[in-house]
Amino acid sequence: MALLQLEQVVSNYGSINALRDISFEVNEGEIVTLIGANGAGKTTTMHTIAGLKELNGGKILLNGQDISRWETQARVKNGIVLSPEGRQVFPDFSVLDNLMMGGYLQTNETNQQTLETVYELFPRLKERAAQAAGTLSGGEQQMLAVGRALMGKPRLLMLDEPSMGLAPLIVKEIFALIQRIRDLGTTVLLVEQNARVALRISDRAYVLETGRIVLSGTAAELLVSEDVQKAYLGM
Amino acid sequence: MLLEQILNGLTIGSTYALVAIGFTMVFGVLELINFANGSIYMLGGYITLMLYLGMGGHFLLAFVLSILLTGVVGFAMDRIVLSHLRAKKAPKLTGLIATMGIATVIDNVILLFFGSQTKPYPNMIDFGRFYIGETAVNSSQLVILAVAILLMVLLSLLTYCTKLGKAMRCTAQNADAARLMGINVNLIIALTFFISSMLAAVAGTMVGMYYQSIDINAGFTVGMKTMASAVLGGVGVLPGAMVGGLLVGLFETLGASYISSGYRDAIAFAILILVILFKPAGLFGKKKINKV
Ligand SMILES: Nc1ncnc2c1ncn2[C@@H]1O[C@H](COP(=O)(O)OP(=O)(O)OP(=O)(O)O)[C@@H](O)[C@H]1O
Ligand SMILES: [Mg+2]
Repeated sequence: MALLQLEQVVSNYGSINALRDISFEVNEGEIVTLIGANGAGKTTTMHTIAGLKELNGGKILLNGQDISRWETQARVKNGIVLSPEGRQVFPDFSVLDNLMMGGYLQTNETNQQTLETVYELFPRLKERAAQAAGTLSGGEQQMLAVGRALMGKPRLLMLDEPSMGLAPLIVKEIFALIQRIRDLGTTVLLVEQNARVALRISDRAYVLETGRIVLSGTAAELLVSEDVQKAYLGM
Repeated sequence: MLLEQILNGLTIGSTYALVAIGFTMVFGVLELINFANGSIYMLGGYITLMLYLGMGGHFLLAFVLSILLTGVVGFAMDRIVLSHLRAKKAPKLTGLIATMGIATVIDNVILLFFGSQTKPYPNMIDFGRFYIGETAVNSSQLVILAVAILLMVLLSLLTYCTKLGKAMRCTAQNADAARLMGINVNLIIALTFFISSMLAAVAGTMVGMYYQSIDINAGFTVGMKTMASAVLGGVGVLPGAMVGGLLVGLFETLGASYISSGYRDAIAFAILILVILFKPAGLFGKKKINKV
């Protein structure tokens, strides 16, 4: 059984149909990428899975259980954690406080343990533990957003454009970390503009176009697909 | 004489501060101007009086029950009305108008039950007056100041040192991100209303005792003055509301005794306008407020 399954999910903003019948799945241990142009509905998909955006049709299943009507906090408690587009760190809080908020539903002991893992993945965050998050550089904020999501002990970690606005070297670093996070046992659902790099570290991918999935396959297949190369890899 | 006036001003100012803190906390988590806050303050005062008379003089019990009951009214106001507006993604202005509606309902319920006459209020904290040097000090003033300071310390601890306080501050900074941490944002907001209404009840009761009377117009004036206090200190900032409340109390008392008592209420707003002109974010405000 898939860890996460979307069945004919529909999601609207008023009269705008952002998602029109989306079905896909993410299996335990995979890295799955959603690619698509601006406005295709990638963020809406993530928000609908996280429960920030209500569902207007279809179903979302976690391990076969229908979670479509659950509140966000219940989903977080069950391991669905989103690192949102644009980082959204708490600017007035220190780095450490931001991380601790990520572990809001966890016990203190668990947080101490996870914190060590996060500091090991992102030594920069440890150096800057006391600094206000709002004063971090863009790359550091992104690391913080990912680290904060990890503090929630995700079974499914959703990352919405983790490389946005970052220098190529840092992008490489972030993607290497995503692979390490998966190797540590977390399933990853990734949204990326940077399709080529994302596909290289993914197992499978789906292509979204104006609220529909138009293509899917293994990452290796999509990397060589002509349609994908033309539309998303700039070849 | 001057010292006495300063003490008078700080006493009344500390009660403004309590109400202003509640106002600012709600604004912090919701960016909502709660026009019902003044009515809730008055309601708290009336409920204490009603329970005190009804229970044959158990003042402390009446006071505690009244604080809780008023808190529940605030909580219910959010759960029954405002949370639904949020769920429907109604514009902020709709929420603001809704709080005006709630204020009208509360004012009229009070009018219905208690009538429009000024009611005598028992002063349970009057243990006489004494002198420090030349300065006459009233025990009621000391009790009010002590209670207000204690509550401010407790609230600061709650906000800055507890998990609930951190969840409130997260919600204030970014509600969606707070949700993604697993914070039950709707509950946090309702609890904020609960706390702010309890504070208002404490202030409403203490002021009733201090003046030994309560009347139906108290809510509106105090609502406006505490809003002025919060803006003066910087809306959404806890220390801002505290200092703002104290300053408004101080200035209006000094103004009333040294300029003219007729200007008491006008002075608070004159100060407000001056501060907004020269420091739009308020004394403690960090950034410009461009919301609402
Ligand atoms: N809050 C909103 N209200 C109305 N329409 C919205 C809202 N959020 C998104 N949309 C619309 O829904 C569609 C999908 O948006 P979404 O943010 O999911 O796209 P995306 O694939 O994440 O794009 P990007 O790559 O630019 O982040 C767009 O047409 C967008 O204009
Ligand atoms: Mg997006």
